[in-house]
Amino acid sequence: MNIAYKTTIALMLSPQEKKDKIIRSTDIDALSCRYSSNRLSYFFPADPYTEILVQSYQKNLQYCQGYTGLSSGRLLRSSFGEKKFPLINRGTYFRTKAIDLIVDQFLKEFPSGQIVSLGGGSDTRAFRILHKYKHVSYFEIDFPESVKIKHLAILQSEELKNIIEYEGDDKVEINNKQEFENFQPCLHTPRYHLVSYDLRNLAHGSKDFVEQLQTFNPGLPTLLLSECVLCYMNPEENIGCLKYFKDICIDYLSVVIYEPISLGDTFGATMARNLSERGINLLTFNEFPDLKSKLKFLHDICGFQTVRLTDLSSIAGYGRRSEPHKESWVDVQEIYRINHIELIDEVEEIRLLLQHYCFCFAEWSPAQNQKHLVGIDRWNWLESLN
Amino acid sequence: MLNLDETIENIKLCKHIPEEDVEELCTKVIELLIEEANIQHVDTPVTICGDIHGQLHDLLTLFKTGGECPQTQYLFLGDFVDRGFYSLESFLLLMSLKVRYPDRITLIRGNHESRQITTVYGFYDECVRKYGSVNVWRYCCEVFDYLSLGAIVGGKGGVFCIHGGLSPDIDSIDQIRILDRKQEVPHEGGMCDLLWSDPEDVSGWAISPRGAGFLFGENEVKNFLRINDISLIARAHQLVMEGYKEMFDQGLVTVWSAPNYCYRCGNIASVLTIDDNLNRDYKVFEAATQDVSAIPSKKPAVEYFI
Repeated sequence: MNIAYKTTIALMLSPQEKKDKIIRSTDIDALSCRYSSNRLSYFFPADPYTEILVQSYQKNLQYCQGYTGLSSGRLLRSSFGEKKFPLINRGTYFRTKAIDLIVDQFLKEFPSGQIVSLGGGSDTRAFRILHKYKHVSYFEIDFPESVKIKHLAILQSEELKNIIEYEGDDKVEINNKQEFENFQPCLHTPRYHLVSYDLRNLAHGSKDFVEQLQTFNPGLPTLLLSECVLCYMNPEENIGCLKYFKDICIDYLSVVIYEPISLGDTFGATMARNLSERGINLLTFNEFPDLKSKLKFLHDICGFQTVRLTDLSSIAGYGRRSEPHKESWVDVQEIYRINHIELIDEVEEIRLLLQHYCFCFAEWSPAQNQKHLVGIDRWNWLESLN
Repeated sequence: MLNLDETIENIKLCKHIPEEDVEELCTKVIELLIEEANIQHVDTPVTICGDIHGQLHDLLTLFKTGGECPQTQYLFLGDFVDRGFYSLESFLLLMSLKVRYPDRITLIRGNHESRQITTVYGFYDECVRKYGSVNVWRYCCEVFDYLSLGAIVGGKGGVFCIHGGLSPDIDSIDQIRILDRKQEVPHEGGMCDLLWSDPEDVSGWAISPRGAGFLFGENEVKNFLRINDISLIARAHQLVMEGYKEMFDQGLVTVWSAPNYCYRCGNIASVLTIDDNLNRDYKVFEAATQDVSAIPSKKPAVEYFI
């Protein structure tokens, strides 16, 4: 078999593999948005780690399934080389900020709590949190290739190794697809666990998955994060995944979900069509189209006791006026700073777009124990249920 | 030598227009615009159109909806360029019609007709991509500086037309007439506000979330109508899902003419015809097509958070 033919075979993906490749590539999209916002100083203090993840993609994406040197170069150039619209930069800032606020509140009330990030890909929150809080354990779960990209980024950076308290001093250099394929994805340190796993399997009875999380302690308060991840799983897989964590946690579990919702309007319909043209199908988009149906899903179906919901438009100050006794999500001065980084001529559009992203908080604890994140009602929510 | 009728047909087909032709067209349109006042007087009947934003195929639908120029007289409220994939063709088409039928079409300036904004929102990149140099963008920016700031339709008791809205620095239309408009849109002051402000349910003036211009309320609109003896402010600038929206006892209307704005928003569009008795007639229209030809095969920039 000649080499060209072999390469062709290697690049031929099954329909499911193609879909998964597209889902994994949404991580590059998210990273490129963070990279752009960060470069324009939306984040204060700046995020020093995003750049390291970008470099890892630049080195290693070519070795991922379905990519060549040319196709990966092209994707990376268009993702990181082209300017983003101000509305994308702002939205990226607000989504990151809102989740940071919840995480900070969680660790303030539960200093020894643990955080599990679902499908976080190249997100850098783990490093920021581990650096800031010395008692937290952080677990990240994603597809093997996404995990490898992050693992390789960590091994390239003394700073990241220090943060996660990585003891080894091995230098790994990947030079071809085979080496990438053979590279061991998972990485474990006492406080940080990077785990390769297909979360969809949690719905299909993989009860012993928790063992892969090694030091995960079911008796500690746990915060689960899903930033545009559960939306790529079907409703059964959503339930399976959330219930799995509810079943293993015996003390307290809360979850933050940030993802698109259709609102059943023409913007939502256009969004579904545009994304499906890119091969992206939002599997709960129409099933749970608005905040009320998300609330029902989290409370009635998944059994969370406390549920709070809002949308990103309200968080970013584009929604209805806040109740006076509540804190705005982002204070007036900070909003002023953000609004003056770039002139924005898309106020209606940004409002529309951000209204179509829900921000959900839900918590559960066993009846005898009744733990709550007390500070959650500092902020304005559009829907709530106790 | 520019053959206008042929050029108009070529633009409609999205064919490449030679750089020399663009330069000649821009020069000719400047010769016309230089003679226009800051506030142009426009006779009825006229069809008023809001933002176009480079959606050439939808602009063609607009002309089908409202009637072709010159049979129908048109007034465009600015924001011809940026965001859509065919900003250059859209602006070239409007300029060609202006040169071909100068008395049948009026173009006023939107906040996107600016060097600074077009470098952020796509027109600059589009010109460089299509011509490999910044020349065409520069010619067009020269034209931007000569565009009128507003118009009055139907004389006394008529319609004041502006891209954005009112300014705390400007009480009477006469104050606009004496501005020196032939410059890049400033970051503040009367000229900036006219192109950037938005009506809102506020009392008095409020800070605009856009970072330029102001929000103005019902009282400001009613005072402006009274002082200037007009019955309506027609403006564009804000996406309206239903295509148009009247506010403040019908004293102000927003007209939006870019359907499914940015190929994303799912909205419909409209144009507003003012007849000889100053009656208003809105015609709505939908996005030209889900036809792939409206969207180039190159993947557009990130449009959602995914």
